[in-house]
Amino acid sequence: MRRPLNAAIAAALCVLGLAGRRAAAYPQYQLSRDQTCSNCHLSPAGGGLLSENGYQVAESFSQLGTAPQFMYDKIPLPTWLSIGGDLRGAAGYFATPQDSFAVFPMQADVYVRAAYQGFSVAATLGARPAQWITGNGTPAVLDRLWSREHYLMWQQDGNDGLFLRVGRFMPVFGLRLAEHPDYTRRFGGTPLYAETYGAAIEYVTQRWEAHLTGFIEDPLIDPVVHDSGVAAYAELRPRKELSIGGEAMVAGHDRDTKIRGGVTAKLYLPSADVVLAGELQIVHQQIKGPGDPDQLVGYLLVSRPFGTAVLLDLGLGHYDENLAIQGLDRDAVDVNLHWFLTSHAELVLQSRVEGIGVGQRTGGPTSGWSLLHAHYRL
Amino acid sequence: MKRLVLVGALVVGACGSATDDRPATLDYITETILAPSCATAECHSAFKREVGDQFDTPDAARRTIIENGLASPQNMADPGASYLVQTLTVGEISVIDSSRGRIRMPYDAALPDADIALIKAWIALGVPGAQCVPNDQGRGCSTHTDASGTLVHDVVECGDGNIGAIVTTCDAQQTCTVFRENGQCVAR
Repeated sequence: MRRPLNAAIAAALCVLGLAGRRAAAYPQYQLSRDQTCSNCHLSPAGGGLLSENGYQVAESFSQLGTAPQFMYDKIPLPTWLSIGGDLRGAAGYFATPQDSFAVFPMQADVYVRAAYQGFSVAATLGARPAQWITGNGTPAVLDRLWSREHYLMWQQDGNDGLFLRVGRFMPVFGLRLAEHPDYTRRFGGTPLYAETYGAAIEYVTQRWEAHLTGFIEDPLIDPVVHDSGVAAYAELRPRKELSIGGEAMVAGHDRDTKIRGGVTAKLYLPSADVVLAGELQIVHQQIKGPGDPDQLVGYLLVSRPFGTAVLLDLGLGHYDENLAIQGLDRDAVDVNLHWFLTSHAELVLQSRVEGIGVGQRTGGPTSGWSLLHAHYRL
Repeated sequence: MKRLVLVGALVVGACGSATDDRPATLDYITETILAPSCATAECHSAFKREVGDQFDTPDAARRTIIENGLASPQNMADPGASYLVQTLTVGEISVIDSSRGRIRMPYDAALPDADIALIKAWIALGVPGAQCVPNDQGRGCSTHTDASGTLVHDVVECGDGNIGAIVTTCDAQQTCTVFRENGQCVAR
């Protein structure tokens, strides 16, 4: 039997699955503020460093006015260099169904990007949760640091056009929601820290965009995801307020392959200032041995600003791990309330209620959690 | 909106069958239940391997179950009493900090009852694929703590040959430790 270990690592560092967060901004802003992720971010897939326009968008939606640039523009940077960063932490209550309270760090990342003409090198350097050491060992400082993303990119022209990337990054797939517990992130092929080595060819215009990523299991570290494969995502915006997308991914390792196909849609209703975003995936999993399951993963996000500094998200998630068997599907209701104190500082109250086999004879316990999450952008 | 959610859930949920004919195998349980629910970035993935448990591949799950005594053929008669099922249903004393009391897993959301039942069915079969029986020489998946308090894995050699990549036979002058997924022999 296992022995109790008196680990020096604070228990709060492992609030399972909820600690950590990918540095992404808000896909809710797409269509309501700008047409593409690359209008506000330096990456064609969004997330991480903001562009000059991204700074202005962040500043336009905040309670108090500040300089939105890196370190409030107190540290002037040459035009070829961009630096940024994100710090996050959270505390909250879990009833899953056991009651508990936890405080934990989520993210401490610095982003650096150097560009010369059409070429750029980008890297994210920061803290990572150290791998457990058998025998109650203490991880070395270097074991707590890593580079989540680092890649070389060539881009044709500004925000639009052709992008080629090679290095370590998240395969571009689906809506790329910021909250990794969202079902289409967690169960949809892009969970937290699923960045890996690959190459992508991407084309972005204001009317449409397409991304094709080939990726391999990280050969350098013990990764979260062991899969190698290909991911494709394309999005068409027939109107300024509407986008429709399609996605496909084939990924696996020696005993398990997942084939994903899905659709996305996003609609901005100017009269109500509401963004509706949805993603639905069908997954066919091929496992060594009998019983390959078909799965369904979906998420619907309704997002509306209140005033100039509050954003309310209502999310509905559905995940069925095996469509052939009753009682294996989960439904989640998420409510996230963001308050942007400044363009650098944000508080988010995140809450979830999750049911299993809702309305069926078999299911499981209802779970829930509520977290207060603080975010500071350098 | 709440009604809409419920209706949607009913429509989708009604598609499945009440008969659970999924295979009670370690491969299936790992890839469809343990990996997506337990092997997340901060928990029991290879990346973090919290409390030494890793459930992202069948080989890793096999090693974890054997080394950490989560379930064994001794639990066949009463699978619910196994450490694994106890952890998934009522919780076990925290390995990190025993003062926290019982911790139920997964920490962020419970597993469906049907998944627990499938895991129990697998244990009732004798944990096929994760058995480790001492061989004729009496060598099995035993561990001991050395003078410095380090957990040392003695030579592991399973009767069913299923322990996979970590099977290591060390010389008499060496001890066997497990680092990441591979057994390594270290000079005494």
